[in-house]
Amino acid sequence: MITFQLNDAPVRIAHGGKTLLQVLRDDLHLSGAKTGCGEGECGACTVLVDGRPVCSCLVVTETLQGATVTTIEALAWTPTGAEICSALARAGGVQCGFCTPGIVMAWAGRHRDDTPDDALEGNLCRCTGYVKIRAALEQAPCLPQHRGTVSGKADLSLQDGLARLAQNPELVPIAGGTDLVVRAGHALGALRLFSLERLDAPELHQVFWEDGNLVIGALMRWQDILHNPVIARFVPILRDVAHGVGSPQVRNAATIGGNVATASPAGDGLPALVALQAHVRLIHRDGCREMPVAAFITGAGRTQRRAGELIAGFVIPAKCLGQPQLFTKVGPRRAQAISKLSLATVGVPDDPAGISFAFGAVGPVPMTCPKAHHSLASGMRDDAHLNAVADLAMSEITPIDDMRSTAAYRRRVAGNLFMRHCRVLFSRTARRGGG
Amino acid sequence: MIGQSIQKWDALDKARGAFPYPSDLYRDRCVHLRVLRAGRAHARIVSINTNVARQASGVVRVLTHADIPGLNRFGLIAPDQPVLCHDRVRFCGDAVALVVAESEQEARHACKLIHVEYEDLPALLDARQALAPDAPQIGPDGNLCHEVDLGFGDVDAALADSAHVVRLTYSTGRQEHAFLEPEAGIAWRDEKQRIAITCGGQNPFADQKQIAAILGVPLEQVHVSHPPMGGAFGGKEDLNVQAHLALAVHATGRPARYVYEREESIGYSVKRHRFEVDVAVGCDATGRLTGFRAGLLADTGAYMTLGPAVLVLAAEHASGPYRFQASRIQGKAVHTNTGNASAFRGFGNPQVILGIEQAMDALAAKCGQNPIEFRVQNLLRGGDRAGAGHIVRNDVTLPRLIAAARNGPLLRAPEAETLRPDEDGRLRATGFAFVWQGFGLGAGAEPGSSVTLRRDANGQFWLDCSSADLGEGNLSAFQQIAASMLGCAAHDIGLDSGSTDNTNSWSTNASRSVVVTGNAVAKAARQLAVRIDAGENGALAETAHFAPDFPEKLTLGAPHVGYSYGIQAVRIALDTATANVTVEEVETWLDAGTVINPDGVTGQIEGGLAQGLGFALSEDLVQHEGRVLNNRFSSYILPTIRDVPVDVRVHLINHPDASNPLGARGIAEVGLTPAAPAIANALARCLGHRFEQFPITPEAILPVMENALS
Repeated sequence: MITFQLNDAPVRIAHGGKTLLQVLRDDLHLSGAKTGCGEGECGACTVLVDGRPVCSCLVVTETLQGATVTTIEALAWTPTGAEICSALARAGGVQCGFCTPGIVMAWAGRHRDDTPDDALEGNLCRCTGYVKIRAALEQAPCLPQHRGTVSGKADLSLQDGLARLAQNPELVPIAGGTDLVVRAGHALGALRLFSLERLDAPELHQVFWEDGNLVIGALMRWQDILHNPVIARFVPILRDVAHGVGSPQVRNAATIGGNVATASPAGDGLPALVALQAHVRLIHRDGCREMPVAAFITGAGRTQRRAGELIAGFVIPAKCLGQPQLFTKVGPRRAQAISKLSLATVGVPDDPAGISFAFGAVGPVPMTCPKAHHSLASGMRDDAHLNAVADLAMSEITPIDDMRSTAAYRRRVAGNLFMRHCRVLFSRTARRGGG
Repeated sequence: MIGQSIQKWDALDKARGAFPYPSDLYRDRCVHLRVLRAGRAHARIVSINTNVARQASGVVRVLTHADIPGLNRFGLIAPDQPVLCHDRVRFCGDAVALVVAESEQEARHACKLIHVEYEDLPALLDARQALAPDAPQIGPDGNLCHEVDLGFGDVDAALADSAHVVRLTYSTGRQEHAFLEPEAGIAWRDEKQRIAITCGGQNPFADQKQIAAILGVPLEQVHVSHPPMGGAFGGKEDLNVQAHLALAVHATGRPARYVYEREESIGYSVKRHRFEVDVAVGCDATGRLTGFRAGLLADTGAYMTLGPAVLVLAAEHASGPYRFQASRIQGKAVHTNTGNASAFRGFGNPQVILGIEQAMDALAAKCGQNPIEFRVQNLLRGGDRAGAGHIVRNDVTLPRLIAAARNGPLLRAPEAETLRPDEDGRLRATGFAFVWQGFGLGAGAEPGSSVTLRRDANGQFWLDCSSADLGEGNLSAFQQIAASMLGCAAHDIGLDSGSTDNTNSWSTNASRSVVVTGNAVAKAARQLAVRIDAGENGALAETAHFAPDFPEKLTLGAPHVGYSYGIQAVRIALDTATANVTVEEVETWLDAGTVINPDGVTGQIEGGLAQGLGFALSEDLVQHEGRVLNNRFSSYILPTIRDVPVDVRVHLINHPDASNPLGARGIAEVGLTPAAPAIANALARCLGHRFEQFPITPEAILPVMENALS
């Protein structure tokens, strides 16, 4: 039995294996959240879970225990919702209107600093070209409504949770679910899901210091990483990665731990954590272990995680904290993009080359290009030298042709990005050294 | 009233999530449908075995071609597409069997249990091979679906005598409509024992005719209703869920519901026609245009759909609003196994404008002239013969727009070509295009619209018309027109619309609603006002018909009775590391004729622009052996809010059109068409290169850019 608050009334559902959108539309006949794509791309199904916009098509009911869900049917009649609806209607921001309820939800639950472009990255509109929607929302400045983000979902100690996972190897741990639900598709009901929301383990949700290193909890959501001041100051590369992860709706659900556990070659967190020389911390009923993220990821979609084991967090070594760092994502559009390739570069003072870097989406795992890295250590760092190193890097990566791009493009742009990153980082470290 | 922006009648309910869309509708005891698609480009069906599927849990019926009571074919121009294939499949989306079950899940599962034995046939996947003697034969009469040959004068001589000739060869993408609400609807047997279908669509009467034929029943036994839906853009003109819903109700007697999944919608629905285009455009040493020649090859896919009409409109518009001494425009629409193409906003014009508007820039450069001046001196005037051979009756109003455009920041001063990136590593340039877009259905194809305006016994006004509102707000515009004549507020006009029980105002397409139906509304309202003014009491009704008057016909569907005109300018930034193009600024000047709802007009231009950006830069199907690989929103790349610039300005500089009493021009398509050539012209300024394939991807730009920068 799963119990949650829906529009200020309790709801009980007997079985899991469904998405929140299915429950809303099919079981409760609330049709304000629309089905546009079923994979978290269009945002027409946006609802607020614990005050934050998420795509209800990606939320599995198992993760809703104790949550507070608000749909357009209730929000539209609050002062905030009424103001947004009315602004959109008045300004010609509603054409076919199928995307509109999702847009109202996304704006009502936005982060307080968000512009319309920030808040609506995850809401596709095919009619308006967004122009009048932007203008309307600028006329609806009502502050986002944020409820407490911690709800009464945790009902298991970490120890008990790990014991359960160890005893039931068929259990699939689920955090945000934004990858898992899409991959499961119609077979969602066949999975035995174990919601990590149930674990009473605040350290999995936090950034904290440990022996001078910084630990990032695996259940930190990308939206929290995007706005976390400690991350912005010490590992801004993760903030930059977060900026390009999906959309606010996806970032409000998806976690950094899930990104690594999925181990997609296009996962943007992977190259950044590898460039940061981060270690992954794995916990199990029987103990804890750590290893470099680079070693943890063994192939496309493959990791060294064992049955019953959970990713607890990522340990960023002190030497990489607060160093100059850059992340560039190259995707087919400017938001909600799956990377064609990416490059993460971090200044590392004790590294012979002065930087650590990893490419994403140009090989089965983040590509660190050891020959290029080695060659970077010896040379003038002038254009001729950097060109030669970029050529080496281009020879070490193993990009492929697929429906998103071509191997030739990925290889060439990898070289271009490498040059751009080196120029920027070396000029920054030079300034820093000189100052 | 006319000329003032109003809030659409349904906008607030839609925003609140309270408006029922076709995909929101259910009925008690509903059965759910899934269609088994061919999943292969071309094959002979050896056998279809539904035995196991019929026994599966929750399955009510499994229907095949043998269960179709009437005609197993449909199509808007000619019925050539099977409802459920009998002996052959011609594209991956061809429907082979229909599962009717208690739930979607059960229907989906049972689809997998149907065993179809195929014998694969050689597939024709390249339109250029379609007319080869040994090509696989797809269409009933071979692969030539339609052919046009328009023009006048001796174009060979005109081009031979030209001081400059620009030749361009290019192809365009198979753009997906990507309406946010997929194809959806319900059907049931209504209280009059009719098969009633409520779904997304663009012309209830066209649906009714096709469905009645499929069921083998008189028209009166089929009722079709199109409530406001989640977008269409031409993609809901052909039947989608309707026939399968009707068959399910016919077979089971129970209400039925069918909503496409997104993969089904992108993978199997109709698309914008991919065109292969060759143009040759000449001018003399002074910059006066001489000859225009175009060869158009349109891939219409497996079935005819609206392919011939798209080809004709493309041919009519290919030479742009310019005056030539001679012209020849030859086009062929051919059948292939690559899918199924039909109507999409712009209707052939976005494909052909890339030729003329790129050539105009290139010729101006050859003449050493400013590209605006070059175009201006060659514009058609009223009474001139256009490239397709027809006389343009009314003045081309672009000169008024040019005067305004020259005051805007983008077109004020022509910039020199530059190859120096800005400090952020980006090359920036401005490009623009002129556009004309005919409105209404063309000569011989436009039946006109009828509407009825009623005043009921309570004094309430009702507009009765069959028009569907796809999201653009045509019904709101009709309310405004009627209210203006009747001296009331727009929201005082009740709507009784969108179904075959209404007065026949025909299709919502071809930028025809305001021009054709709008004039019928104005006429009916005036008639009603006269009776009210005369003091008539009680319930009143006035029906009026409006059809434009066509002075000539080139071929079925051409020419159009009038055109809307525009200029669109874009500022782009090209990243020299990634070859990604960002559109940073867009400015459009438009002659919309008499404007009913200004926000409605600018909304059409802005929305069209976003689709035009997609057509130019990112939207195309990726196919393998006829199968669509990018059949999701994560892989079919629509512009997000970040991909449409913050700086989008639309200027309306209106001049009433003489073709209709309201003076309106249809403007629903004209915002999309010029975006791609404007971007192509800006890229040519950055790189000195004309691309041969649209959308222009970073993968194509990168080697050209590196060559230009080295």
